[in-house]
Amino acid sequence: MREKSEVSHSNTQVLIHDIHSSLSALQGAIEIISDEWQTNPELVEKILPLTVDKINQLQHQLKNFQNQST
Amino acid sequence: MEALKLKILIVEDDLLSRLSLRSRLETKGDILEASSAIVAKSMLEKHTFDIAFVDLDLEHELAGLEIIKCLKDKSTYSVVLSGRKDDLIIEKAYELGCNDYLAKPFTKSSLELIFKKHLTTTNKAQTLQELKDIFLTNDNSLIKELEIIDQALLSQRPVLISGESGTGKTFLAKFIHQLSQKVLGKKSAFIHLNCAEISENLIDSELFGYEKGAFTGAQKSKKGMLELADGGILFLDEIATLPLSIQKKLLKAIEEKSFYPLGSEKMIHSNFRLITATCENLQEKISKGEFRADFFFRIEGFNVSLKSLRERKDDINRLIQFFIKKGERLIVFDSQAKLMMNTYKWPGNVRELERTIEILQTREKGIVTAIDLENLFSKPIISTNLIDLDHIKEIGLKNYIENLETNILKLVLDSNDDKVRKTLSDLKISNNSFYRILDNLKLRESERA
Repeated sequence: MREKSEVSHSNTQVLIHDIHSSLSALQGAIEIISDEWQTNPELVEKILPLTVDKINQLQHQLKNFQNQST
Repeated sequence: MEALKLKILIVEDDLLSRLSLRSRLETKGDILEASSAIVAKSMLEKHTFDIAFVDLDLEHELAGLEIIKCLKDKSTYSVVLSGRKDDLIIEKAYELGCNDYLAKPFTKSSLELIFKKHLTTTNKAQTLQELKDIFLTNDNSLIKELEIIDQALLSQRPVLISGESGTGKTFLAKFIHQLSQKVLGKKSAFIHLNCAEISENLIDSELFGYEKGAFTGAQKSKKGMLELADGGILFLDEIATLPLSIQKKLLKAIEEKSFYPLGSEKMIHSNFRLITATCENLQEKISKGEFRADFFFRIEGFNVSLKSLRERKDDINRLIQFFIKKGERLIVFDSQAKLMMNTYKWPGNVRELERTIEILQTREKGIVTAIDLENLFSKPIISTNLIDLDHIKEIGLKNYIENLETNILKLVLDSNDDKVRKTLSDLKISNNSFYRILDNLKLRESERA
């Protein structure tokens, strides 16, 4: 029983780490979009689809986290 | 002044993070990207990089640590970018040779700091050599003192330079400015004010500027030195002579990075770095109530104390040779003159030594003797065995003291390049006393004429 809880704790840790990574990537992307949307629209056009993908990935990670904690 | 183009490697498995980082670094140099540790390793076999940004978790957990080791072997400056904040992992990364560890998400300013640090780290040896060349020194304790300049370049904290007159305080301030421009990759202002040179009522308007009509004679607006120093360096020499009222006003301006020019309601913002210099003991002045403690704590940060020439006698011969070569005419010293040059106290420090050589080079003789030097060296003002009692009896004590006063005033005024406020401060006399003695001096000179 104790081992199982340790495994689950470790999974949660990994998940939190992944969520944090996604949030960091999104924060970087949002800063770029906000700084460059007027001066460098080509770059923003390149970043936007990747940002959307990342948001979807984050949503998925958050859902998993919700399932794990319930 | 253009910043050097660097070869940069980004090792990051997340495409969005990679692209974001690339766009932040594009102005800094040529960039290659690797999405895994394996790709990075193969790139490192073919290319050399100046700086590498490495994510720790790549194709497997902590795969980035393997790259750190390879980068260290290739002397590449490495920066870890990771969401991991465990002490053990940070320690491991540093042990393997990473130069900096940034926690994700990082800011634009933290990336700027990395590039400044990279530049100062790679140029450290060159900077030290330049400092040794400027100060013409091999004195280890002075070199150690100057090493702090390297750290000072990474920060906007103030620099306080202390040292006797002629030890090179202004030289050092200018050198810091020169290095700062190199680190920033752009030109910036260097605004120099000698606080002892201008009168108390002018300092306010010089520093803060004024609006047209702010006072009688203010026929048009003028920018103050604080405003002119925006983005650069404000160097305040002889800071100990700054009036207490101005210290208070300046303290506020430094803290808030903004101020109001005289007669203006419009606030001016200025982001300058403050460098101050003094030949006086500021702590002593604080204890006497002549200098504000809060202002002192605001102007100190990186404190550099420059040794006097008599404390680094081993450098004297090198300096003599340097100044002789700097002039057009070569001269030599006989053995007694050499000894005198090395044993003299040099109260005016390197500046006095330079001036002495300059004068000797203009003399008719090419071989300098002890007699030539005796006339040049500044003599101690008074010592008990120099008191001429017969002379005092002859002219009377009052006249003797008046003569002594005027001689001292002339000596100090000359050594201070006619700076009145500095002379007042050095001699600790009031304005009234100063002008009374000055009148006596003028009277004596006119009588002599």
